Amino acid sequence: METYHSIINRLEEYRDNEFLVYKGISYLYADLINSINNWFDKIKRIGIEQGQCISIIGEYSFNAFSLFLALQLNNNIIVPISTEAKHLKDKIFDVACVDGYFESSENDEWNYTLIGPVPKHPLLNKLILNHEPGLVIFTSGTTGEKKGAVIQILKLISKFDNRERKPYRSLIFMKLDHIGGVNTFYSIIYNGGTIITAEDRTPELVCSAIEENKVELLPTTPTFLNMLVISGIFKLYDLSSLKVISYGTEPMPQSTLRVLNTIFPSIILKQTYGLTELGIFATKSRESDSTWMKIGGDGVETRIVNNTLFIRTKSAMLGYLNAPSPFDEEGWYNTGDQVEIDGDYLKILGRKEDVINVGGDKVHPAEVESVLLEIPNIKEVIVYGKDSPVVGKLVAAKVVLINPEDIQDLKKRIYDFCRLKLQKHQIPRLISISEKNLVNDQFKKKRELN
Amino acid sequence: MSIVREVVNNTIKEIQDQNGFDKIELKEEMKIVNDLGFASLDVAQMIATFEMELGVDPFQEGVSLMDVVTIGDIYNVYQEYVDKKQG
Repeated sequence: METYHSIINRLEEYRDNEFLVYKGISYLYADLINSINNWFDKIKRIGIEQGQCISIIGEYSFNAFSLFLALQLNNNIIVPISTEAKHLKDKIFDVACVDGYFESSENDEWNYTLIGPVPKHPLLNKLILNHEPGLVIFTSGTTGEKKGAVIQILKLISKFDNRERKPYRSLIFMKLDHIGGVNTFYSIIYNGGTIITAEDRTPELVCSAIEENKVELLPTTPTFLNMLVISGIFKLYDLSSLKVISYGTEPMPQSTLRVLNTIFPSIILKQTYGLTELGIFATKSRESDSTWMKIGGDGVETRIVNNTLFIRTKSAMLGYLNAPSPFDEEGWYNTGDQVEIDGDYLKILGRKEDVINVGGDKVHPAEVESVLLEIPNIKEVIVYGKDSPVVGKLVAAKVVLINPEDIQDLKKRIYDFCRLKLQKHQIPRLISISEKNLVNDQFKKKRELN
Repeated sequence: MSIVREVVNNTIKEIQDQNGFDKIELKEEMKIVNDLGFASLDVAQMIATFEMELGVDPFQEGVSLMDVVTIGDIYNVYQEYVDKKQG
């Protein structure tokens, strides 16, 4: 298989390089290649055929990476699910036409469960007919319903084929079911770099992993960087190995950037930009302390219409499995991001629609409102994003009650109810009571409360 | 006890309770992240609640997140801005 040889050959060039440090154990690229081959044989023995949709449920590990690549080499369509999203697995399996799944247990062991042959969506059939591997990544939709984006892996990695980059020792921060995590993974292995994993994404554990493993590149989010600053933990660890901190998924406050440049004067702070639907793009920041950047590179075109950024790119997804195509007839994608322009440089201001970006996670007010209206004594509700110096935006709710109630009791009831129905970042953390109606004359919700 | 201290202490206790953490005696030298175990959303909730209850947002006035590491830092920053507002 053409793909098999080209990827294995690429990894062979780095066989003596360190590939991964996981739970204190170091693995070389030679170990990775052996493991991929072992998994490839096992996949065949299990009877997993090319073109089948196979899910991987779990967190990063040596076997997670080698299994992922073995499935890719077998031209499967991979549906990664992190532990945090496991409660959505049935819905994901349904949308992504999953035929079987691997799930991790302790000690990096992975067990396979066959679901059975499932009829495929036309977009998946395109990949199957082309004998090429694919990826399905879920992203938030306009109504909160997660949309399954079908991605051609070979197009995603084509930008790494020809470009030589420095083989950094890099922490992997975003998960494998996030386009950022996938992009980081491929960018490291295609350049013979080293992946470092942290036990969890807290400032303490990340700093500890950086110090212990001499991490050079930290790809992360503005919210994490805010927490790093506010905790002061960076002072307790030797982070002198760090050369680059890249950030994305949410707008970066200028104040945070200024503080980071003061704390880390010799580290390059690099903004990234990307979407599940389009991939992650090469950007060029104007200066290290600036959020102005150029977005582009081979095969990427941008245009601005009414201050909104549109992008057209060869690495775009094929489409959604459970929603209409978001591309216009000429292949342009409306990112929804409002931008300022200065010559060739752009500054991302934030999203136009109601979506609340909480530390990089998108929250749809309608979805949260729907849950709140199930709570006894709540007559009317409006959910909005409150500006936060820590997470960008925080979910807040204004409620109209049927009967008067103590605000502390109400807050507790709301939190306890929402914990069972919503993810952490979706739960309203600021509650206020309104005596008045929450709609305007056109019966539209008055969301501009911030 | 000053209003600022009362609001700060009550808010911190509310979030600890929300998270199911054991109630501990709050001390000025305690660090919000390291000692109280607050994650990003907890810190964000805390700051938003202070703004709602005290009517001041020091971060809009240029205060940095680096200046509010301990409970004592929080008392001092918010007292300063509440006094400025009343002044």
